[in-house]
Amino acid sequence: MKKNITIIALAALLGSSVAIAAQQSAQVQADIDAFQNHFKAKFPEMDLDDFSKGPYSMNEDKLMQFENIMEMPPFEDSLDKGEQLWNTAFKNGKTYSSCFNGPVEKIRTQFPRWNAEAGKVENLEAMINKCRTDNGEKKIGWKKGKMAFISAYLTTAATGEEINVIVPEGDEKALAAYNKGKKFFYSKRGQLNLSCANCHIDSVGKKIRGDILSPALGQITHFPVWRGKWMRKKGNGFGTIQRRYGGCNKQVRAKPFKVHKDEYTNLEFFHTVMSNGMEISGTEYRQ
Amino acid sequence: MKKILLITTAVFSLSTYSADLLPSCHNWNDGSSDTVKAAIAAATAENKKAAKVGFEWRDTVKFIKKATKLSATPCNSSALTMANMAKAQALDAQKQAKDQANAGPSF
Amino acid sequence: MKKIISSISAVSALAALFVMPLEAGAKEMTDEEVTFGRKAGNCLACHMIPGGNLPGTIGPPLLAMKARFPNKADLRAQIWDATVKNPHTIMPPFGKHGILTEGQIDQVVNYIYSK
Repeated sequence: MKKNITIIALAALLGSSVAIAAQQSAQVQADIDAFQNHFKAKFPEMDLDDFSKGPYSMNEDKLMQFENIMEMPPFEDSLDKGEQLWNTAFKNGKTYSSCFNGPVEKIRTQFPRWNAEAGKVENLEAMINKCRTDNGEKKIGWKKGKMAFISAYLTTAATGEEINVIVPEGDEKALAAYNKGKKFFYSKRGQLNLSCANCHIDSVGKKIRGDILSPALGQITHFPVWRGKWMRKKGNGFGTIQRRYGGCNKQVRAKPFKVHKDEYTNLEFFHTVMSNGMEISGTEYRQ
Repeated sequence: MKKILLITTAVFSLSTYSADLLPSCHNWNDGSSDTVKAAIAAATAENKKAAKVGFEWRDTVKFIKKATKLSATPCNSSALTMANMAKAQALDAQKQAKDQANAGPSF
Repeated sequence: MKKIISSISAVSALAALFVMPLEAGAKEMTDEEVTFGRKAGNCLACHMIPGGNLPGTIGPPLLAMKARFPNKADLRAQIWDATVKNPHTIMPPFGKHGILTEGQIDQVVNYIYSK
């Protein structure tokens, strides 16, 4: 009986921590500071939001090319489709917005978020599909197509909104999920024995053949992205962040994980938290 | 016990093979040979272990599939080579997982 | 029994080592092709090498290698597994992970050592 009471009390406590804006874990905040200070020290002439331009922030010629493309982005039609899909009613008459809190420009930055009840991280794409199944619709594909259009529409609508992902202080499970993502980021894997950090922390701004390695800081601000490389493959160029993770893993000759399982979702959690305080820059072009 | 048997047959086959590195055709090494089957089974088992710790490599299963395909035709020294390459990869991947147990930032 | 099994598996590991390099060695590539080829050494991905186009800048230029590695075997060891000297290095362990065969590593060493 005593046990039951403590469980109930604990549940109430957990419930309340969701209701009240949770405080950032002190350990995570220390990680964020160390991570961002590393980049600031390495590139003292850059402001925090400059990092969001990725490889183009590191090279003037490439930045000019990028800005030219972004004046007339090749993906505007897809953003319009995303908006249309967002506003199209399901068979039951409801729309996507019924599943989310707040106006359209405030949705992107709510994710990824820790769901204490479910004991796992939820990201935007997972919630889009959950919204569909909750309303009696079939799931849509995770990595590109309609999913990427809707997600890109929400990312673009959120331009200028600040990333503020919270790993709640005192929630051991949330911290464990964060730490798994962190370990993934720093672990060398694949036949080429490369970690995310090897390229996107240690070698930022350097060239791999003709391409410039982007900083891990701010990578999350502009996803889904429209990539020339993806355009040349099947599809129309759009892909989500987890599609990109899979591509990175293949390039280091590791077997990619299935998207929207714990591995990449925890990674996305860590990866996004590291960019806390940065502005969403809207969906962008990448080569 | 089954496992022990499997390992011993795998090993027996391997050491036999290593004693004879010429890629020429041998009667004992035909498509149905237990040697190749055991090597493929060993590679598959090791790769499952690598996957379980989350460090499977990209091409290991491709090599195993290739080995299986090659083993369907007689005279297939490359089937064994391929299976052994897959197994070596799987073992390297497992070692990598151990090496990365404490991976973290260097700042 | 346990002992027997472990010694047996040691033998099998050795056997695997012997068998492995057979595979990729089939095609005859020149030293330069192995060093530059994107599907072989792809050294240019990270290193400037005289005579190579579009080099990366992640690693140091591969120049004056005889002065930097008076002992050729040290250069070979660095290519075989650079994590021995620095566990955090971005350089892939070309020999240890079987990215190149032993013969191909010799070819790369020969090519780079002439620069």
